[in-house]
Amino acid sequence: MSALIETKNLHFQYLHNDSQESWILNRINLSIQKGEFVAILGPNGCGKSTLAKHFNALLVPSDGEVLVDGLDTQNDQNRFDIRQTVGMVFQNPDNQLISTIVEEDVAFAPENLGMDPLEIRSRVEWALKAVDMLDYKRHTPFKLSGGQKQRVAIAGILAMRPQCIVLDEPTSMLDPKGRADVMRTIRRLNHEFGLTIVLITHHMEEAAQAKRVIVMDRGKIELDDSPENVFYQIDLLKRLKLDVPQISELVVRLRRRGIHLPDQITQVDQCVDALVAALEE
Amino acid sequence: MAIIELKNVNFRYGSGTPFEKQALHDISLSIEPGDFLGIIGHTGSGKSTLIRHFNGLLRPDSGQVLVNGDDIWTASKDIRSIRFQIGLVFQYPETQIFEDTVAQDIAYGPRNMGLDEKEVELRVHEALQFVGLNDSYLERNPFRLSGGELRRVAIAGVIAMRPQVLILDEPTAGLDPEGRNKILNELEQFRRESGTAIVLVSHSMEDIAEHVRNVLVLDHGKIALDGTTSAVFSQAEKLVQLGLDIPQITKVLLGLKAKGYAVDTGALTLDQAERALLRLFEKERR
Amino acid sequence: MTRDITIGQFLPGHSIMHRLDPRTKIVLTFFFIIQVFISRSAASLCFLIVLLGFLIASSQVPAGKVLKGVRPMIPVIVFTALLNIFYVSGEPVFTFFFLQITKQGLFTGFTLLVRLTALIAGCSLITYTTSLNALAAGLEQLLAPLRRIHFPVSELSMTISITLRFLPTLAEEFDRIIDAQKARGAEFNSGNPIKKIKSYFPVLLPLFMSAFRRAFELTNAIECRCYQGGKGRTKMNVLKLAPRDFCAIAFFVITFFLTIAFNYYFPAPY
Repeated sequence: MSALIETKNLHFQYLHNDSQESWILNRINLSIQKGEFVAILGPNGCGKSTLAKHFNALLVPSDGEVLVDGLDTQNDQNRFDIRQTVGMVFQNPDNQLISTIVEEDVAFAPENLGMDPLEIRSRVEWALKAVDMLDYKRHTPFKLSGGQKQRVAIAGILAMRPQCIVLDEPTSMLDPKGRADVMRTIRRLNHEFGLTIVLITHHMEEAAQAKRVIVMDRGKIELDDSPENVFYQIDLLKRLKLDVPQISELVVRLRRRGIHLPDQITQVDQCVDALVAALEE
Repeated sequence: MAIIELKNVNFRYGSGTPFEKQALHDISLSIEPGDFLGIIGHTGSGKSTLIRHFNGLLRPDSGQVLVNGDDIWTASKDIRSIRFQIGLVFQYPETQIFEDTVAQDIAYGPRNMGLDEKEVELRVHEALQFVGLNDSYLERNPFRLSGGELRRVAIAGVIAMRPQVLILDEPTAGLDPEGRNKILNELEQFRRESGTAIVLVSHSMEDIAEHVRNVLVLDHGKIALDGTTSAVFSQAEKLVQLGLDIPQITKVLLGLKAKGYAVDTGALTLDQAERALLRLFEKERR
Repeated sequence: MTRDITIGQFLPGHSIMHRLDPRTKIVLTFFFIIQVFISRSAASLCFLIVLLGFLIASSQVPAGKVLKGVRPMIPVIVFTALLNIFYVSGEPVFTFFFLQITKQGLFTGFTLLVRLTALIAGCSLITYTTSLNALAAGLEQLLAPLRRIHFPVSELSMTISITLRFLPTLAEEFDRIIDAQKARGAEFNSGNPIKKIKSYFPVLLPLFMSAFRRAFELTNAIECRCYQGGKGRTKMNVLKLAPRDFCAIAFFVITFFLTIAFNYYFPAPY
């Protein structure tokens, strides 16, 4: 495996700095490998969205550097290649769709890249199929549910055939069903297509599905570990005012009561199995 | 007497057009002083349509809406005075803010009530306190506040009318955990201090589980379940069938039940789940 | 939520008129307009009415619907026709004090009545049978040659597309903000006009703010999808002319010459 995204001593601050903090991003050293599924957690204003925007050159470092597939984001000539390598999906699905027809929206990026109409057509069909929205290709996005719109937005990025998708709180405006559908799509892209995923979220259940969790606070990386380890740092999570996953807290409490439960339980079925094992003892 | 009472309310969208769609079927309910009611249901279940009937934004096709015992749609009634009694906070309420200071925006509702400036000022101050912001915010530009603060200012704009019921549609949507917990805790405190009844519309079962006393579950414009929160949550299987997300701990308890263990699945909080599991362990060990 | 927004008056269908290439329809609409203006004799006017009837039939749009579209214009048409009846000088048929109605005036008035009605009905047919999307795409490709003189054709079509995409979203938001301000006691239907306009301020300002916020987010999203103006851009759906388009064009060329022939062989009586 080689690094797809690498930040070296990344510092960032807007030119018109009216906040007291000296840096919005302070010395970020990070390396994301091809095929990884990384979740980024942190309270609002911790810099996670700002960091994400560095991954595809929407923002460039004030100091330090960001390499995407070996290309420096600082260099304007790389910008196009970088945006094709790392795609980005935002919070509000409404504000990412530009066409009144689903398939034409998905075609937008390949059209910008000047591809052949036949190639565009095949990419659009492929992308819509990958997010399970092919049946809706002639629909208008306005009539779709939030979860469906967000999947169309993902397809719009997929049509560029990127190596990585960065998703900035893609589920925070969705209902539980839409959220589950989007998460299923994300997992599938990671498993089936080997796509690198960077997921910014507030939902612990979503972060638990990643292989690696990065916790940020005030522009710095506080923790960078597996979800199993991160979710049991209950004090730290509480200090950063993040949600403590109910399961972690339950397991810790039961252990304190002398019930033998293994470490690193993050999923409901793991928890049920562990409880059954403990009950059978 | 109930503050709001709905009797056999039916409502269709687009009556007489090809797009006609029944949105509410024969809904009867009542909201009493001091209530803390949760309304849950998936998108399209009729939640938003229902709450628009509470303050006369929508008129039922049949059935009655009573506020303090009077039908709000019988002639001579001034529908605007109903809206001051029934406070309604919409989803993403920060999008309704338009004045250039926090104080001015919160004062919009009270001024529409025709109150004198002294009273308006008092109410603005009081409402801002209820949402946990101090007077230093009064003269600030709302558009420079954080998302969570802006949301609270918007809620204060409705609280300042001193409604008898405060209805909030997804008040925590899109906020981070800290912002979410702050708002829910402040609402709880507001209810206790002011005695105002609160109706919380949400699809987050976790928010509902921790704060609300009674729950009403909507599905396809009908009341599918209602009762005390723990009574409704003990029917977790049904909630899942209705496409609702249930708290993780409830899922764990259900998982155990499915494996044949006699465990109480009505737990709402971590404390209750812990107790339910400890009881189960004691029983099994005997 | 409450609204079912249809912009324009497109009626989906499968008639020959629906299936024509939007470019053909745009060009033929111009053809038709010219034809309306050169129809001067009684014979060519009758021919115009027949042609219009034929077009309506081939679009499968109910004739009542098309005429309904003309209705709001009736006052203008009648006014113009009357004006001509009274103002054209010639052989008098009727005199009342200073008012004089002439044969020529009557004929001119009648001509205008037919022409204007045909004009509006004919032009509305294209909007009944073509979606706004298709119209925009057709316009973009028709104007494509203008790119050479640096006319921003694809930017224009992108603007149209985004406008169409966001109008219903903003309309929905407008409804929601109205409800939210009503819940705070706003009144929108009372008072004098100035008061009325002022009462919409708490709705319009938040709506503008929201539109700006959306525009800002959209800019980011578009940049992520490698948009850089029209340069080097291709299209997935390239419009292709089918045999029926050539038939339609041929048909119109024939009717065009027929109109000229009618004008020539059966000239206007006055």
